[in-house]
Amino acid sequence: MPNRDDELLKRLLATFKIEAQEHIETIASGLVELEQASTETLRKSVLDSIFRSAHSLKGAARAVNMMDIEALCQSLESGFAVLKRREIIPSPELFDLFHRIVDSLGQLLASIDSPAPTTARPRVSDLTRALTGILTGKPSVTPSTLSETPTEDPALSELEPVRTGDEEKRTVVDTIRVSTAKLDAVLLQTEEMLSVTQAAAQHAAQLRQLSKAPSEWRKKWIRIRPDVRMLQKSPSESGDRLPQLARLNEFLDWSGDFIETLETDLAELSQMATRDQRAVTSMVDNLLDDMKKVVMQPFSTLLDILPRMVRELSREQGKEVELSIQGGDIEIDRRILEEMKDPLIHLARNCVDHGIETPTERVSLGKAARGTITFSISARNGSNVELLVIDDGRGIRADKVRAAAGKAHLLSPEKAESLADKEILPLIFQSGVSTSPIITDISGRGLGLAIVKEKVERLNGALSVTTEPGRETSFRIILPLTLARFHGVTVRVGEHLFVLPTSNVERVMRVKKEEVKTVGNRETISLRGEAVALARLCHVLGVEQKSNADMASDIFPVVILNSANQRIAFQVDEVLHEQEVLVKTLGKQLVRVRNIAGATVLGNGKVVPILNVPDLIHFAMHSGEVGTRAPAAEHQVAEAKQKSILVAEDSITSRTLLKNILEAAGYRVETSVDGVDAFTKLRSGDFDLVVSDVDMPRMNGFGLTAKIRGDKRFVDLPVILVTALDSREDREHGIDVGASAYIVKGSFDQSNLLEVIRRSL
Amino acid sequence: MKKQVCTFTLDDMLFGVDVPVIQEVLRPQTMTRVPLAPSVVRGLINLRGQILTAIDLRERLGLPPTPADISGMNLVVRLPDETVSFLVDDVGEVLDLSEDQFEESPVTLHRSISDVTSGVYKLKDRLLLLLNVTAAATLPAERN
Repeated sequence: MPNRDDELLKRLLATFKIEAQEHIETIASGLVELEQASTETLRKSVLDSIFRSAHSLKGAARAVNMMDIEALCQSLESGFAVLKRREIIPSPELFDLFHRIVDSLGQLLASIDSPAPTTARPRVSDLTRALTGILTGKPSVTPSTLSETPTEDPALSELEPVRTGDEEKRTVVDTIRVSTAKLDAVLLQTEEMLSVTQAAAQHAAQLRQLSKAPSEWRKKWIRIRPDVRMLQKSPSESGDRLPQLARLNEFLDWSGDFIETLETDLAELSQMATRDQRAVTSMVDNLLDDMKKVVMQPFSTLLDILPRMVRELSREQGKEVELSIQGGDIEIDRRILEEMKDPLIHLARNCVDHGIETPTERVSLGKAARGTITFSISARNGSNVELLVIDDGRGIRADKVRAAAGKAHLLSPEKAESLADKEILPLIFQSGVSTSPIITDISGRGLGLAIVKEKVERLNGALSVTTEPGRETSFRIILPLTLARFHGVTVRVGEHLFVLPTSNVERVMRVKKEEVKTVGNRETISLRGEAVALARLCHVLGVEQKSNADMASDIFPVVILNSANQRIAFQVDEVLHEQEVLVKTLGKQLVRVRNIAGATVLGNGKVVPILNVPDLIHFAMHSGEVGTRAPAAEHQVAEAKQKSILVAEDSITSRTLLKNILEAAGYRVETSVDGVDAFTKLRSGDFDLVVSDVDMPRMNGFGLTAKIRGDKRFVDLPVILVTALDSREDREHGIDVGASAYIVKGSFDQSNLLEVIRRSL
Repeated sequence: MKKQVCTFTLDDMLFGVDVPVIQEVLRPQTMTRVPLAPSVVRGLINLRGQILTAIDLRERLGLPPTPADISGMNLVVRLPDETVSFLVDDVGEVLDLSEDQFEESPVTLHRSISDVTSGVYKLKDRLLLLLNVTAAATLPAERN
């Protein structure tokens, strides 16, 4: 996965550079023209054109995570906007500054290939501050929040966690800098050694088996020996022994000795193999443990971004929040930390947005005006850490979740009423369940938590929530300390083997046929008095349950799997064993295959798919597979119908990015360069969804949406507006003209967009 | 400009792959099927601990399924970001071809084939279709 993303990012950057160069040239020449413009009409048209270029470049920069460029374009854009509104008369100093900004843009662009040291890079905050100064008539006033921090590029500071000062450089004794790529490669190779130890174990076991074979021979030999003796002693009719018999006797004696020697040799060899296997296993284990410690990093490297974010968010919303972080020094696999970045941001936003009340509300409830959010990390045992995110806000009201789940058609109203509050709560992790009134981007308990759940589960972690309405909400995340190596239970279905992550296996048990009860239209089994839905793994996976012996048996094994507080019993044909396995990712052709998380190689060299338990549970619950005998082939066909998406976006970088992301997600994509183009294509093609930028020439996203809604053929066509404009009015404007969703352009990561598309289709 | 191309056959048609991208050629391997995978993916194979996706090139090109009497060969190809195995009927010889034998794919070629070939070489008595390995390893959106 990261490889594919890197590849895409590289290609995007190449496209971006070309596009950015064009915009920079337009702005540079436009500025010169503007300064000399003699008529008002000319002035206006030049301003419009450079404003658009600055705006497009901002969007494109955002798409490829070029934050410095984005920030500079933002300030250019606001500068041009002031000029358009004719609020100030442009001074030569202002033009100088504009040109300096454009020069800096060029430098930043050039530094993409060969990153210059931070010191040599243009001081973005100085430029933007200077511009704000001129525009507001108050030179050199420090603008609030954003530019207070001296490093403009957070991405950069993350890449270089180790700061080497000059003094350190001279006295380097026990620290060296090694690129993370090199370290990861070494770690991967070390992990590969695991398959060697597995093979060694397998071979040792085979040898042990083999060394038992001669004793089998001896038993038979002992039984037949009296007969042989008799033959040897009995004289033949002629009184002489046959020479052939004598030779046979000789051979038999020799064979006995020979096999005895063989037995001793085999026993010795088997002992040696067992000894070697133990030695190799312990060496590899130690090596792997040490190697993993090398790539571990403390949680604080990730949590350090939170205080500022929480402060800004709470300030925006007029809330008072104290953030407390405990256990930041606990170390965890760097790769897990990276994956957890988005989930933690979502959780923090969630706490501020939905958890903590306004100070007045809190005081009237008898609470302290200042709310508290706690991130607390603790080591649970040698292999897991627990992360608690607690806010002392209003808690989650089960009735609201119930209503939202009903609205998202996840539950029938009757079903929703029948579930206890405890069972309702996990629904907040379902995408589409939001207690928020309008669809916006990623804030809230709608999408954010679904993303958190997905990420945590992908890391083989677990996530749960408890709440006390009016008092607190607590999210509990269990994460493995390290990635890639984990325990799995191998099961057989028909002739196929699969591995299930042990962390998701609640129990393995054998069930008698008559113990299966039908409740409603579902088959269930009883687990400690509780009814658990039963599904057949062969149906969910669409594989044959071949053997007659398996079918005929009155008693069958089940594996009870759980994920996010949901559990289902899956019938399998055989549970083989539990062992440590090494997860290998699959090629890009298979990344979107449902139910499959990866694959592993067993000790005997056999490749076995690793199943994705959340997928299995989700599919079993929603396909009607639970308890019914729906043939799996039907679902496959339904799934195979590919959806097609029309993208309207004027920036080529953003367009390429969108096209790539959507195609990678399995959609058919057609692109258009503005609203007019999009509408023409829409009328001549067959599309399931439209993703449109807001700001485009000729016809913008709002116009396009209104036009689509005005055509009765497209009344139900989902339209998703993606925009750089994050303002409440625009968002409401979007909803007014009939957009299905309004998403603020994020960065390169577009999981929220994909999630919204999935919900809309 | 000479270039080396390794030939292989599919349904009696002659194809070629640039030699430098070929990692190795393997006899039929034990294949692990992946449930619900696209039909083009025949399964997973274990190549010295590395798991490779085996792509059924007949299926990818929209040709009839491999007849029972052809056991097939694995053509293991290194792409920039991954290594895949293409299942082909048989692997032939390595040819030295020159650029002036190279032409664009004829328009008469079926879309499903021309999409994954970068052109043809005109040999003495037949055409050789040059496989575009990256395109062939990228699955088209599943046909309905």
